[in-house]
Amino acid sequence: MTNILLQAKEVSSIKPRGFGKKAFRLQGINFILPNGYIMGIVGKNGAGKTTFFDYICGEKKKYKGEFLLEGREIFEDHLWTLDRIGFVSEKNEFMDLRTAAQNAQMLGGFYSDFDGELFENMMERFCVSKSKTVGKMSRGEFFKFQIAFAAAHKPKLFLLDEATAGMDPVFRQDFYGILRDLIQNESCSVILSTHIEEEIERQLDYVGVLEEGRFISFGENLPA
Amino acid sequence: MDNKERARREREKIREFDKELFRYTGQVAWFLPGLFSFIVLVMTGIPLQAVITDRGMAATCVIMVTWVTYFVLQPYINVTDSLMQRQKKSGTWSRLKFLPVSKGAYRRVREGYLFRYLWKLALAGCIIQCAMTALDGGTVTVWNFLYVVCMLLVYPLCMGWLLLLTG
Repeated sequence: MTNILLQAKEVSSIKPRGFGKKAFRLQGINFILPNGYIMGIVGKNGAGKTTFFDYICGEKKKYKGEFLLEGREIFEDHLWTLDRIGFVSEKNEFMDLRTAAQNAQMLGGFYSDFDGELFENMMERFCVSKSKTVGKMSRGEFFKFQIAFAAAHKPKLFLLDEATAGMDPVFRQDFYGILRDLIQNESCSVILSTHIEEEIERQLDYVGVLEEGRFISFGENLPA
Repeated sequence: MDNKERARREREKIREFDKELFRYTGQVAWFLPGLFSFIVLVMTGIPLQAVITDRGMAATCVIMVTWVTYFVLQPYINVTDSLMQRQKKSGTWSRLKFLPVSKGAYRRVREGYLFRYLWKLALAGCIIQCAMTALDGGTVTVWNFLYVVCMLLVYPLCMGWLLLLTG
């Protein structure tokens, strides 16, 4: 397979996450994600979806095995990795009392290629005012803002942790159209976690099913 | 781009971010360190020879210097985004942790701010200590300088380092 964007090789947790009965660890995660596709991670709550994203974006390496982004281990140069990742999650924090535009100006500067104009265009496309205060945004608006912010630095890999959960069904359709546009224009890939069955069936190119920290299945999402 | 150049650019980006961070809270943020620095400088006016015999005075001075350290760093390590809204105060680093910036550089820049503030405070403290000791009729020794340097530079730098490590 050519043009591999992200590859996981025998990724397992070093320490279990949580305590007692709730403790679990990711075990033996293997997959290859080529450039230009949407991969979905599905699983029950507590299956390890957020932990998976944490391992890629977190400050410290908490796994053994390898995550290779464009052939390079992500913790070999983590800043390089984060410059190529657009992470969207409810856990992300911004400056709550400032507007979307002010946040983009303050935080976008850390990226090597942040495009303020693209950010504004995306916000317009999402129908969210760039002068709206981030702390006053609804859950859906907050995710739209995050996606615009992530897209503006032209990442190679989007990581979307339950990003579509707060979106209305009409916008969700458009959202996948926007993702497909991004994939085509910027040559990137997307990994998203979701519970929504309709999305899994129609929108995802690859699906990995996580259960208790293991991929019980992974493969191309072929129509039934 | 070599590593040194990259680190320099990273620190520049953090300083730019801090300027913006400070724009709204700057005047308020300087009031408390200013106030406690004034108290500390007044206390530095007490000659070392008198401080040695008064443990209460020494302890008060240490507490005041701790407050100076905390209030100098506070606007950089906490985002008081919410005094009006949700009374929420959370760490600046939590806003940056998923961005391409290292925690090491983030800490070093803040240590730099603290050092820049403290060396001036220590210098002023040394001048006041020497002047007051001389006025009191005592002899200025190297211990007077060491006392001020330890109290107003070394100790708060260590405190700041700990605060940044845990914050």
